[in-house]
Amino acid sequence: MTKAHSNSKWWFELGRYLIPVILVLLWEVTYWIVGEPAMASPWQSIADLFTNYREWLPDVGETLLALFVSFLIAAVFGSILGFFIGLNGFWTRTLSPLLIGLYSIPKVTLYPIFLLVFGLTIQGRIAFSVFHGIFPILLMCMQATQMIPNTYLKVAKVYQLNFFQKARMILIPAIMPQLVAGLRMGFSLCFLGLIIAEMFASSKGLGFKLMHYMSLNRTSSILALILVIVFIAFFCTFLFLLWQERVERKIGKSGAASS
Amino acid sequence: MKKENVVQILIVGSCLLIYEFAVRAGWLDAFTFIPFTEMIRSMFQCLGDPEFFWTHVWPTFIEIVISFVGAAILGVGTGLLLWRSDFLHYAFQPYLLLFYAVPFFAIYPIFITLFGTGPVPVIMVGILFSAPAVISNTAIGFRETRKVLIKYGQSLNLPFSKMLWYIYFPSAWPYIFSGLKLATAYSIIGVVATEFILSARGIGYSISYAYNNFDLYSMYGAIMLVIVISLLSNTVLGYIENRLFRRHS
Amino acid sequence: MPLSAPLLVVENVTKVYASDSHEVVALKDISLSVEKGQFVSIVGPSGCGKTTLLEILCGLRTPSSGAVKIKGETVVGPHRSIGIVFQEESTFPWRTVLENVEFGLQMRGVGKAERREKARQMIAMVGLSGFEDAYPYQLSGGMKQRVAIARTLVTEPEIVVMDEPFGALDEQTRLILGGELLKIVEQTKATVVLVTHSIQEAALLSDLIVVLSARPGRIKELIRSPLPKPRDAAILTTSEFAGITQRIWSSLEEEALMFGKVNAERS
Repeated sequence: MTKAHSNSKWWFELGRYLIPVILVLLWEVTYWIVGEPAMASPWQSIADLFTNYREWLPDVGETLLALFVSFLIAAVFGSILGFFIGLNGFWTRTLSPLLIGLYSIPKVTLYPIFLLVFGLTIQGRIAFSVFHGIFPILLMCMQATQMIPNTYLKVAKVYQLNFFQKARMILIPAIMPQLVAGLRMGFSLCFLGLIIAEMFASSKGLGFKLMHYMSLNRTSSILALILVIVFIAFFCTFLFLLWQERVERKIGKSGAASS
Repeated sequence: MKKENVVQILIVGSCLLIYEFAVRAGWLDAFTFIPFTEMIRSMFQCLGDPEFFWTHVWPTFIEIVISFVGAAILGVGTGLLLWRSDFLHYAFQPYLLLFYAVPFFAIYPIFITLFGTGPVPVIMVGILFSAPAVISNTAIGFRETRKVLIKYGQSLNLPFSKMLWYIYFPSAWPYIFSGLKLATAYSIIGVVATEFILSARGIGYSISYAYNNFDLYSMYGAIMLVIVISLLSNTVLGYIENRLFRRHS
Repeated sequence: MPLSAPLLVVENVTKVYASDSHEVVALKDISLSVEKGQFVSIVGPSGCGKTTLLEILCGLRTPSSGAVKIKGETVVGPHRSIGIVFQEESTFPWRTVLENVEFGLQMRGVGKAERREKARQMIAMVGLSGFEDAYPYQLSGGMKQRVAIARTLVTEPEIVVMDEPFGALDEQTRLILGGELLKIVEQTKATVVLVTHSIQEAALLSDLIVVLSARPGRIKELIRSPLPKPRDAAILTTSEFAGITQRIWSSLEEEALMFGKVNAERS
């Protein structure tokens, strides 16, 4: 894939690091062209981060709390459901199209229903976030379990393992790469759902603060918050990627584990 | 008919029936839910009402189409670039992977301050949200071209333009199509979600407007409309995609 | 006996692959001439450079020194008169059998009616009549190779180069296709250079067998086949056939063993 050997390699690596630099440059140039209040420069945004953090730090806390709760729920239910459905070929084939269909609907349009049921509460936002994030976890776990090579199952039979032993020693390790990939995608979708929920109808949280600053035309604060969101997303995704790499190194890449 | 399909129809059918009954019998709060049949009726009413159609349905449809076309052109073009240049491919690879990790809609307020309200920020969000999927799939599709097919083309001394048109492109087409299918779904999501959060017209807007005015009937009608459009397009495109990949290997 | 100048001449071809750490001499001083209408097989142990030689013959690679000449003209890149059939399946999955076979003609600008007609005839000759509108995914491995052979032959190349065309197929299919290839070659009077690791295949099909040594690949021996032509699969049981396979094997065995030794030393 890369012709990179010895001297070209540093050139390639440089390219990777150049891209965020170019993005920041583009940002600055846009600021020059458009000026305030439509835009703020990168430096103004960073300065805003440090001066105004007391304003939105509690909202960050609110968002992070909701995010981790919803991810936990989505992860636990998604993986367990996906695992047990995946064990049965018939139910996998039957439920797959239905679940994939549900996954493909623009879920944001269903948010008002959540609001009607839960009101403007954090439970509502968490429920909506779970609804977003549970699908990739469920689907990937289901597919991974379904694709466990038959030879593994035969080994379990030969050793006469009971279900729990089989699951712990063979099945779960076998699906780990795809499960971790699914958890990573689920987390991203949970975050997305949560931000949308906060943007539309909430009085707390990062999404709410974004809309709030928009109505006040405080562009530097908007951009500062976007930086915070991007940072949280990158940081958590990075952790997942590290986990995925560790799991893949142990067990080797399998099936749809990439992306 | 296969056993799976029978069970699927049974599951969906019984869920809808139970829901319908539950609402009509009062088990589910009538201020939150309306019967399924009412939703369908409302959807057709929305479509049939010329004012609604032209104020909301048509603009949304146009925005989705423009967003899709923009993402397709930008996506395939960039994908081609990433295929031809190892340097660019290596440089952009982590960002393509990380792109969908960030809640993209958070960028919407900045688009509002830059472009004002109206169709422009909506379309921009639609294009930017859909393009990376097309870029990744296109780049992968071209890179996955089997070496032996390339060698055969070279053995005929074909110029690059013919290699591209007769060998590379047909070989990559199933992957590009997958990307375009994703772009359709993401365009729908991007446009409707953006209209939903803050816009002055469109199906997404009409859902939030109806919600804010406690007009359950219209709200569910519009929701149904979006669901039907996205289910239809995804099913049809998914079917074509399966046939393309089956023929490919 | 040859009546004219040889069709293909390989003059002292050497191929060296150089990397940062060391040099690998894949081929050394290969010289060979192929007459028109001859069927030449190249056999050798794994890694002896058979495929490299083939790629140099058809212009997909350039030799480090020496040259390949067809009808006196030096081969510098893929040549009009040289057709190639690969080992891996190389049919285009998005084209029907008919569209696959006519591809070469289409690229040369041959008109639709004419190329359709020629393609149909060639499809019949390789025994795939009735499958013109099938897609490769509907065909077996052996059938796909027939399509590849038809696709190459239909452009009437002066020389057909084949890189272990039956290598990916099972034994029975190989024997059947081998016999069919004999018939096709007879009918079209094609000149063929075939690379194979199957001694039986080389003995069955060729007029001339080139045995390559282990790396660096040199010509160990040139064996002219005494078997009569035209032939068919019945010849497999004759003593002359056993004789020639024995000759090939005794030449090859030494090289194959050496390859094993070299590899063992390396690890």
